[in-house]
Amino acid sequence: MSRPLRIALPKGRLLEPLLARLRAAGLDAPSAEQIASRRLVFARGGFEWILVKDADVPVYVEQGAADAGVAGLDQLLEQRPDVLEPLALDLGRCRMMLIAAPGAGPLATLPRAVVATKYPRFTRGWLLRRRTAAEVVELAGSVELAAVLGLAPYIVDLVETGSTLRANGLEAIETIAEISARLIVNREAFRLDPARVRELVARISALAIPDEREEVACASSN
Amino acid sequence: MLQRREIEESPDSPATLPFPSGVRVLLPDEAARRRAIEYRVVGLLERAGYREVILPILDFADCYDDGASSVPGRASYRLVDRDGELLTLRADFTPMVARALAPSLPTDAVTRVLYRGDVIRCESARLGASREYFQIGAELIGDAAFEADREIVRLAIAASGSGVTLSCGDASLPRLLEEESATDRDAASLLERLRRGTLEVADLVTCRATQSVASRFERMAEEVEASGAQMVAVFDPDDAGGYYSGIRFRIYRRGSNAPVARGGRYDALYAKYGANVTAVGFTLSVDALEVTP
Repeated sequence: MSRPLRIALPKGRLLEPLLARLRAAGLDAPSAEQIASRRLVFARGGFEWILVKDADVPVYVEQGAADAGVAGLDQLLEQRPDVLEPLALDLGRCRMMLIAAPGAGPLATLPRAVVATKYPRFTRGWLLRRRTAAEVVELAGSVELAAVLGLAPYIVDLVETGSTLRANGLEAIETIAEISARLIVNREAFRLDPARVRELVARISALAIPDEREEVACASSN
Repeated sequence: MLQRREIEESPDSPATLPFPSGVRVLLPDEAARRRAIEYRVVGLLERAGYREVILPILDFADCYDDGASSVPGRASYRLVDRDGELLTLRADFTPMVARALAPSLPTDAVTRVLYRGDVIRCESARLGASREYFQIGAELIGDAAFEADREIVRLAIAASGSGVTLSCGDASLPRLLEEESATDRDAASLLERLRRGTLEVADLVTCRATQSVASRFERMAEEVEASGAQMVAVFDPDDAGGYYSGIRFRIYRRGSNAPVARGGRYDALYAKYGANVTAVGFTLSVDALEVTP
């Protein structure tokens, strides 16, 4: 293939720090303003950059519409795309947690608990692995509100600092997974031209978590 | 205001519905193209000494559990028989060929078979991927030598057409490197490079355990390039999944990143079904050949 590698970047709060770190690592990445311009595919620095919703990055990369991308481990755990995950990046770090409404108690005591989440597939799998019977309610956002208003006594969601939880009197019960952004690569792009993918991984490895080996190992066993 | 029910209801009879997503009808022109490919490939294999086996579309689901299939159980259709037995629609030819041939295989001679037919899969596909695939494949059973790998790769390339790229890895590497890495620090660092996808053929020469893999790759590259195809060596850490135990390859036509053929060596597969023989084979995705003329 002769066209440049196409890299999908996630819209949202990760974008600015990600672009800054890519530039610091010596990649001629576009600025956030350039990439958000009306051009849908932005060519620069020997790559083509596209900007998509964070949950769509795994779809673009798995299907080969992008050759590589940066996606949160939360999205990878939920969507389970068939992609390579060569690097865990030191970006977007937070925790996937089980959170309870005030007075809800441990999850195991209720016969049929209700858990609200943006990650229904991951949450169902996690509940099965910990042998807990619970119903999962899928929400599109503002998941904390479900616990505050009594829609569900439990939620599974990302926690960065915990300030939202404290402000709403919610209780963090347990950490389910340590989350960070990951470099993901389309399998066929790797199989057809591994040298280009190796070069990309080498150039982005400056963004990796230093001790990421263990994390990658535990993520792939999930 | 239009009621939701009125928007959602179809005024037409269910008999005029399109076919379900993932399956398709081949009208005469398309059917003729498929038949032309089928005759060409089956002729090629028959001239090379491969004889056809015809396999059933239904089998017991239990026979393909615990990694005996490269298609995970949840990606195959399963149904309960009148007797309460759990059946599966054929989702992968290779283990079924092994199970069908194992009871009657000679242990002192090489067996060459070909097969053709549909496999049915219910993968959780996003982009309306197919559920019914027409495949033609070949198995070379009872020959563990490099020459057997080479014969299968040659046939797979010839079946795929001209100007193809062979992307080739080896499923035995993780095991070889893990065994060696306890005592050999070079092997440990190669294993780490394999996990990151940064391992190259040149690295394999540096480690005693993988030198034979490296020399097989060099010989294969010469063979492939002599046949007019291009070879790329790719060590994918996930290639060791499923039943593969040696060479593992995929073949691509120019301009397409969907493989038209895939195959490899699976020396422990037949033992699961009671025959102690090695095997190497490939499967051609005829649907993929139809879309990239």
